[in-house]
Amino acid sequence: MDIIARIENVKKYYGSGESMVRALDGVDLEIEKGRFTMLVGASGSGKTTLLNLLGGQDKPTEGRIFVEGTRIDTLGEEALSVYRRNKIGFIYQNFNLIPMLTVEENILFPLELGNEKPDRGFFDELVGILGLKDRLDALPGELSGGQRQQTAIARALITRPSLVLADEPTGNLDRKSGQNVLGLLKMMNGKYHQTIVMITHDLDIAQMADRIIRIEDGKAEDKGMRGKAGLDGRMHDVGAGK
Amino acid sequence: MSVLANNNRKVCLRLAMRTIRANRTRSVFLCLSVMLVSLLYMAVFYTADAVYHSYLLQDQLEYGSASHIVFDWLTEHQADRISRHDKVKSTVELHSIGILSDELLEYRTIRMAAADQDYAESVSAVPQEGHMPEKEGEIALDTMTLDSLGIPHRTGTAVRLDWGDNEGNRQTEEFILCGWWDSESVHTESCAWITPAHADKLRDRSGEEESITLGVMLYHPEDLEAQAEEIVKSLGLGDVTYTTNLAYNSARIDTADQRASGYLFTAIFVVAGGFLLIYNIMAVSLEERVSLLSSMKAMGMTPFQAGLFSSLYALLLCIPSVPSGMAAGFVIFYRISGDIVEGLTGIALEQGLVTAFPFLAASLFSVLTAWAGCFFPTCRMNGWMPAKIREFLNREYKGRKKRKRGDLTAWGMAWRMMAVGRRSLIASVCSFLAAALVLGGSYIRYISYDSEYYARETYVSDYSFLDASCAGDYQRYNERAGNLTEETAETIRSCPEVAEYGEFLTHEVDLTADDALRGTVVDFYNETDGYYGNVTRKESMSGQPGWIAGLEKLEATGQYRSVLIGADGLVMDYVLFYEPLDGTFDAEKFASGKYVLSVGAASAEGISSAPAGSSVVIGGRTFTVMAAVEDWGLVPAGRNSRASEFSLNYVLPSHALRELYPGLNIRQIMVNVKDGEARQFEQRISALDRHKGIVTERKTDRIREFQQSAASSVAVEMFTGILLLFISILGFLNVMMTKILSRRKEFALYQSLGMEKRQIRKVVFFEGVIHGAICAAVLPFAGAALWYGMASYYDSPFAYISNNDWAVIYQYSPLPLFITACIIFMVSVTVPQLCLRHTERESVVERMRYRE
Repeated sequence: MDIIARIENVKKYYGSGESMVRALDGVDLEIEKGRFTMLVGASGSGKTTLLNLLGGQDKPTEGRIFVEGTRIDTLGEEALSVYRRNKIGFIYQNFNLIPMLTVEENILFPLELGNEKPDRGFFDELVGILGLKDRLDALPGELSGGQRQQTAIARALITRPSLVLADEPTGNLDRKSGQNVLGLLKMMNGKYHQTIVMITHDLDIAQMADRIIRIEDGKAEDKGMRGKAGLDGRMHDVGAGK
Repeated sequence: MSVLANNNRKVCLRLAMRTIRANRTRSVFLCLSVMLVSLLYMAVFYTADAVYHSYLLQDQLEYGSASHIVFDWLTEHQADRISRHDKVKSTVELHSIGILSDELLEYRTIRMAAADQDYAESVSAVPQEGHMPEKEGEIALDTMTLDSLGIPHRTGTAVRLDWGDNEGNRQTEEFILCGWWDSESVHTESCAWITPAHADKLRDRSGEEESITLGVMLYHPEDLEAQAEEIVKSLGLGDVTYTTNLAYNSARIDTADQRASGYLFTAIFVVAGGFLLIYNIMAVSLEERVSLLSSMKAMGMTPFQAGLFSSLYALLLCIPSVPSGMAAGFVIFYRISGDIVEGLTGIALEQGLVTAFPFLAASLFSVLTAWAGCFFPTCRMNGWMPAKIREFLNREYKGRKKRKRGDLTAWGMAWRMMAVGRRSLIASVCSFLAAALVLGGSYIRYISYDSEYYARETYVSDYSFLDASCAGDYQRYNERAGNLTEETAETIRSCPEVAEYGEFLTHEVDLTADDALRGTVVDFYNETDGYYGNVTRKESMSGQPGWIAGLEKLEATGQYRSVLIGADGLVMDYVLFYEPLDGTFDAEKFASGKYVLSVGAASAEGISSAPAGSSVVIGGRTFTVMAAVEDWGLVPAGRNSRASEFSLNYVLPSHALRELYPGLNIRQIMVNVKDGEARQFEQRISALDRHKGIVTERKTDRIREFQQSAASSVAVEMFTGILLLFISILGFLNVMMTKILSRRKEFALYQSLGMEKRQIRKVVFFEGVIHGAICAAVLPFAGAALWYGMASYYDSPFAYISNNDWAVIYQYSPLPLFITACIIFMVSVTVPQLCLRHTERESVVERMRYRE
């Protein structure tokens, strides 16, 4: 399997002295291309921090991060902005849509930043799959939670990024909408071979993944392919997937 | 990935436009603020520009011509060659045949010349009454010339004039007055217009060539001296004389610059106040903007694009605001700048004098201030990582490390909320400080102008009636004019409203000094005076050769010119304004007519006039010098002859002077009017006017002019201070309203936990008081800064730039600060309560659902 991203001994500390927080404390990890990878762990374990580092939204205190062979932890903010725009699709728990842009404009926003012309065929296909065809002129304030997250997913995918990073995308949704969103992500992974890294602390949702990585106390444990949670809530080594 | 990826700018513009539309209320507030700031800038720059040009106009008026260079005594050929020079844009010509030679006009040069409308316009010598001469024998003159010669202002009046041709040969000619104009009192040159045909005739008769005065306008009016030299040299006209316009003199330009720059200093406060207002409004919505920035940067917006978005946001706000603000500022100050400038300089600013400078400067500063106010609240975050921005957004209130345990009080809750919204509060505080300094400083300057002191030092009497022949700075009194007749004097004297009355008469004579007086005076002026360095008093007068000649004549022959001053009644207050230098004054003895007062100066070693107890022979009679008084210089008005440039003068009772020289006319009448009866007195004297040869000066007019001048000198600063205060209040209002309106969910939460409305209002009241106290706390510092700063200012030369700045007695007043403090507390106490009541219209549940 191709490795699309590699994290080498990455540490991320916040603060100093007695109040220092060790969000990540030496993480080594590889993300496989085309796979749906789930990051699981308790609240405050460092999952979001790891996702932010992969997504170029933050820089590690120590260590190296490579995405498609390029080291990103040493890039300047200007270059990182371009990296985020072209290589990453980020899906947030609270959607983070731009309130004064329409659905269509929100989706095409990353392309517009880079002055790239959208692939209309791909756009139409995306919005068709996500069920947004009739809502393209709406503002985010006029959408339901599920529709907002669908818009965010479309925005994340429109640039055909190397990585789609999703930080608890169903956290603010009702069960049905959440399941809908997860289904869409799974379909994107299947149809477009999109590499997806997603955070969840819902063990049922974790079942969807090809691979589960557990983050605990700032360190990563690869739990293998297609994990299954035990009743005690801890992940166990379940070997290769079914 | 390429670092050189294309950064789309259009998307930034679209985002900026959408952001403006998304929050219309804030956008309107911002537009109004930018408009206010633009108005202020326009006011400051327009007035500074007007002051600058007015001082230059004053210089130009002093010069007497609008031309850049005036070449004199040219032949036709020379004038033609200069006109064709490639540096010369246009010319006007004066063909003069001679100069009026009456000795009463000795301080001015009046050229008799062929009427020329163009030249007349260039030197402001176009008749305002009557017309330019059209027939042979007609003449047009300025009013100062008419008054000096005692010619009534009436067309058809026969005028007999002595004049000298260009070789100096004296001639006499008779004319009929056909028109006149009012000339500026500072003009030392003027024209006497006759028809060209008449001029030719007179020139032919005298046999002399005409001389041409050429007024030249250059394409590039810089370094006029150098250009004039170049013209003269390049044409081989080595012996041609010229003068250059004072308005383009570099020293004069620097002076005008310096005077105008005082107004530009006010612009610093406009920058501060304007920036703080806009920054404040932006800071209140900081969380929202930062959240948007975080989202956009997460999507891949570069720091450049983020900065461009903020900048375009500001520029879009400027599009409707800056032009309308500038238009409003222009309309206001186009009307009142003229009054301000005239109050300052005495020059009526030409309406229509509008240059590009105020518009360019105001628009540039307005846009920059708006941009800075919009850009700076988030500029440091443009380069942050998105995670750091989110961390900033999610920062929790940390509070103090050491927390007191105990009951939570309303005051305690209010105090804890001070940690939120510190930026905008600090911006408000700074804004109030700027406003307090400007308003406080301008108010202190205004009240420090003391009109009573001014009146006391310059005017003894309520009214002063002058013979028109001595009303101007360069007019020699005409003893024969006789405009102030005995009848006029009696009319004035007999008015029941008159409380005190006095007359000045003057007469010039040549007297002979005895050896004692000669020695006293010569010794005095041959002394070295430390005030002038190591030179004698005589040497210090080397710039006045006429004065030196008079002193040397006294020294050689004992002969000297004396101006005899007849003084009675009220005018003795002027004469004795200062204590006598020698001897003592006895009013009864003086009235006997046997005594005189000698007029001079004094030093530690002696005086420069006849000492008390000495004798002087005047008109064959011997007088005893009662006392020596100081030469006060203010009255009588007007000038005496050039021959009296050096003179030893004597004051004696009017009746005594009249006895010596019967038929003497009155030069000046001074009157004090009973309190409250000025209006009736005005009615009685309404018929006395300049066209009857009498100039009336009123102390009230001078005081009003002084007050106008005082108001003018602080008008712009005070207006700026008031507007800055208004801006500060707007910003503070914004802070107080947002503090409450953005926390409706929080207040609903308190209510849902059982807090009563009364208790919440108490917390909000205390919050308001704390905000008000913090803003008002800066005012004592402003007061202290003004206390020390204004005292230093009045110790420096900067406080004494305009003409009336000497009449200042420094007074400190904290009134504007007190008013500001009252406004602050009123807003801080009432506005939050009103906003709170507004939010309470919604139910607790509705407010709990509110997304801030």
